Amino acid sequence: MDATVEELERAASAAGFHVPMPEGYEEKLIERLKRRDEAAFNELVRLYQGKIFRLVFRMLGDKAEAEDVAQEVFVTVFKSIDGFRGDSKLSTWLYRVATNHCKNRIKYLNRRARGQKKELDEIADRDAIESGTMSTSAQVHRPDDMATAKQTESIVQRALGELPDDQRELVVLRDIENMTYEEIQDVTGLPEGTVKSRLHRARLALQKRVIELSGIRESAP
Amino acid sequence: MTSDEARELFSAAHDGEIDAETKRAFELALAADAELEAEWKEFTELLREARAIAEEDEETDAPDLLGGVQARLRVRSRGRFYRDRFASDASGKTMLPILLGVVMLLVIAIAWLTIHVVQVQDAAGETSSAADAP
Repeated sequence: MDATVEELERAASAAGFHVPMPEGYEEKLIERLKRRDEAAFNELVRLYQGKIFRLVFRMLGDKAEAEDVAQEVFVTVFKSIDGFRGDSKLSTWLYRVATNHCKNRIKYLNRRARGQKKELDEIADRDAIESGTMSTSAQVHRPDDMATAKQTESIVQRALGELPDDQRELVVLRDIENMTYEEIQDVTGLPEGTVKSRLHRARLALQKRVIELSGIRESAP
Repeated sequence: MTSDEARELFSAAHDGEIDAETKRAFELALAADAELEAEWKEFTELLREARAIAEEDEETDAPDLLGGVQARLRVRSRGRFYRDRFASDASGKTMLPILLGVVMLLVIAIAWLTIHVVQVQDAAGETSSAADAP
């Protein structure tokens, strides 16, 4: 069994969205997972951790957050495997759990960022009042990591991070994870037409933002 | 086909989801509008870059999540799952009261022995002094 798992792990690292499994392997794995077999769960984590981590990282754009969320994805899978009815592939279900976790984390991070911005605004306003000069806005300087990051990747990643969640999800699934429209429908639960139109809008928005960011970069000293 | 109509087809054209006739009209629209053609090139280049990022990602090692996942499950299930480490972690806690009990018993035993020895010595001292008395 161990040799099989190692072979699958090797195949998983080379494969795309789905980990290729021998006939009947996935069904047995699910059965074992439903019995809360820890060894089966270890196998599942080893097979999918790379894919889930990378998907989550692309959605969140932060490695520490991605590691935390990816771990939560597997905890959720362990807890709710009984709810998996087998209507879709296990990997599709895993991706669905992962994208839902990402959306929740993005909402949480946005709320936190808004809260922090509000606090910073209040501090800036207070300081301005105390110093007798009113600043036009709270200028919060963000660290410019573009100088050190790989040029194209950092621009695309940054532009991706600025897309609305629903658009970012589709770009990641289609253009980075290379999923088919059918697979995206399974993961997101959206109808085909919505996937296509939303993805189109997302790609155009991404293109526009990449051009803007590239322009900023080129004009930077 | 107008430039705006062609722009609306960028995604479908990239994914090969337009029929031959539409494709021809799309190509004619591109040929007729240099700006549109440049936009189309940027569009396809961006999607190619996105795919290159994914390929680069696949070569990058993702962190090993197993230990962290097991630890979370162990804590949240209160040691019901992945109990092995839980048991070893808990052993320190469960051993502490036992260890304290043993130490207290030892202290009591030493105290009792000390008192007993003193009493025996006192008794022996009294006996010898009585025997020495005239």
